[in-house]
Amino acid sequence: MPAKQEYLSGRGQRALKVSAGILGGFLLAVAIHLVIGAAVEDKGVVVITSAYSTFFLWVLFMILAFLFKNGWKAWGTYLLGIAICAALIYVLL
Amino acid sequence: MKLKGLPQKAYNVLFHTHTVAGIVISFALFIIFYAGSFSIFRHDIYRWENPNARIEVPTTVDLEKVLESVKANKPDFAESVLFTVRLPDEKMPYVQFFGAEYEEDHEEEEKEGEEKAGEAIAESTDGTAAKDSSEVASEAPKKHIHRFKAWINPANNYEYIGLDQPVTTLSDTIYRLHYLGQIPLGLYISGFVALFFFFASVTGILIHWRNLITKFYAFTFRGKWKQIWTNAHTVLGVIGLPFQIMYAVTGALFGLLTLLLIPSAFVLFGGDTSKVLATVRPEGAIKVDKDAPPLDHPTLDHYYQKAVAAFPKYQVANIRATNHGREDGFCSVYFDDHKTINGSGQITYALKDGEVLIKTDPAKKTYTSSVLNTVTKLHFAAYGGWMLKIIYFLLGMITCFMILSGVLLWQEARNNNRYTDKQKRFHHKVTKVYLAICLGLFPATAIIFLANKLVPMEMIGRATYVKSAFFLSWLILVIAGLFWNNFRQLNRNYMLIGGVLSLLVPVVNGLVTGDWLLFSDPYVVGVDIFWIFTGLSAFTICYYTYKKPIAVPQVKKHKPMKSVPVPSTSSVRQKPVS
Repeated sequence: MPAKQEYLSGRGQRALKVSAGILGGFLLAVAIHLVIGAAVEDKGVVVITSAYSTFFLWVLFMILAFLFKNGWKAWGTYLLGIAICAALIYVLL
Repeated sequence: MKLKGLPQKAYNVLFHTHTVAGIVISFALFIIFYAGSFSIFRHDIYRWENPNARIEVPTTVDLEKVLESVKANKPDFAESVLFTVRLPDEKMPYVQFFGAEYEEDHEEEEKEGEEKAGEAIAESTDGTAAKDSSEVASEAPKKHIHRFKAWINPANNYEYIGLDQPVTTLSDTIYRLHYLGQIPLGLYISGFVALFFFFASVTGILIHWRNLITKFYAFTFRGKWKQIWTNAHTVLGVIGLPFQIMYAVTGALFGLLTLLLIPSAFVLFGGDTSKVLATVRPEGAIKVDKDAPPLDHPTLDHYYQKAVAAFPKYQVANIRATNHGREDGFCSVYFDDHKTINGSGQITYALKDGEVLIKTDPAKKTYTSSVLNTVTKLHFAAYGGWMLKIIYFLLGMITCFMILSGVLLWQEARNNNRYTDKQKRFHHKVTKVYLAICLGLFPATAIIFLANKLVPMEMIGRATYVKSAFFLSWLILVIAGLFWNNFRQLNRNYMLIGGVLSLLVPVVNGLVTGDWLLFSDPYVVGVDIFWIFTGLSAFTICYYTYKKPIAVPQVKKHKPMKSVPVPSTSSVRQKPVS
């Protein structure tokens, strides 16, 4: 019943994945919503939708972070995503 | 039929995250769901809570008289600062008034600031929100305002009932417990608990995926305990999934909305939070000048009547006024049909000439103005009447059971020779503490209902005693639970104590108020019937889980105790093993 230990990663890797999922996942989920908000005319719709849809993306990114083999790669991917979003927001606004 | 499950590695990794996230949030989540299930009825039980409120509901209310009553009793009443008048309904015979007064020191406000933020979001469609962008703007830095609430009784010549020393806070205490309002940052903590509950629900479904269909039809209370807990946890988790996902998302929303709105405010609206709020509540963004010339004629009741005439199919729930008594003041009348999920709306009039500034017609509502209302109605079960509330309550209790069975499953799955005795003792101790906290809440809830009746109504500061009775008895029950090393014994004791106390609730209500099963008032008798039913259910649970083993030999049930060497063995085996 309990998960098999041989599939689980060590302490350092776990800390990286947990932080990538919670913090990185949050920032990426918000950043994606901000890109959409910057792109469309009616920003109110995006803001009010983000009140719930952010949680869907956030949880998705939390789960995905654990599926990376390497926690650094999880952080790297999320930071890259955030950077791309930031660039898009800069261009759009 | 087997569905295709996750690959081995992903399965084990997600299984582990599900276990860790679940165990970490479990007891907080239990408290949230348990207190939340009771809070669904927090308005409905008011007539039970306060025997003085068991009077006939007034059919007409004159708002000018309400204001006169407030002004007469609150000399420093800040008329121009936003205030809310909530009209009586069949649950509550008083007019509820939420206003502000000027005062010298401002410590109180800082202290309450954080709680208010949460309530403002949670109650935004209730209309009792404490803060609004317009109000923030109109707050002068030199004069500090202090918010107060009061009940006004139209049946007794608009008698003013101040709530600086509230008579009863029973439902309020349980409601606050629901969002962990009694501890610092409780609202945010409960928001994160909801978020991790969402995470645990999704990972739970993913790991259960391959057995989703087969296990669904194999639900039984027979077999090994580990099997029983697994079945209870997975099948109830699947049945309750839509309900649980809804609560995970809306709960996270109420707890963490600020976290989401701040980035939007900064990036999309140039740092202006009031613009973000305006997208949700346009009437909250109307700018007023607090030095505008005074308006001589009273107007509030006139606009209330006008709104009633304009929307005859709806019930007016509350009226809010900003800059009342000034030329640029305005008032919003909020109404609801209390039946449909999107059936609420508002109309905002300028006080001076009655110009309609903003109108939200429920029939023509836009997406933007619907979302938060719908989410609130979903979360507070405010769209279908009492049957829906009972379904919500039962689903909430099922979720509580699902949470506890998860903890028991966690312990039982680790109760084998792959774990050292030290580890097993740890698992046993954690489970015991969790069970004590969660199950102790049941008798404690009956105690707060009893205390509400047993502390005399005339007593000064009675609400504090009632509150203390609740938290102290909960603490004592938890400590007592730590001495009951056998989970079955622990469960039985809490069920017995809780069951006896539950049955006492209607008795004490009858003795103190003289209203023995007051069938003429469904809101009073409903609470009594609920506690009778709960008491009997608790005894039934005792009977079935303790006295009458269900196809599980006694020895098996005590197995955890055999393999777990616990320090105190005196209370372990009360019954002889046959």
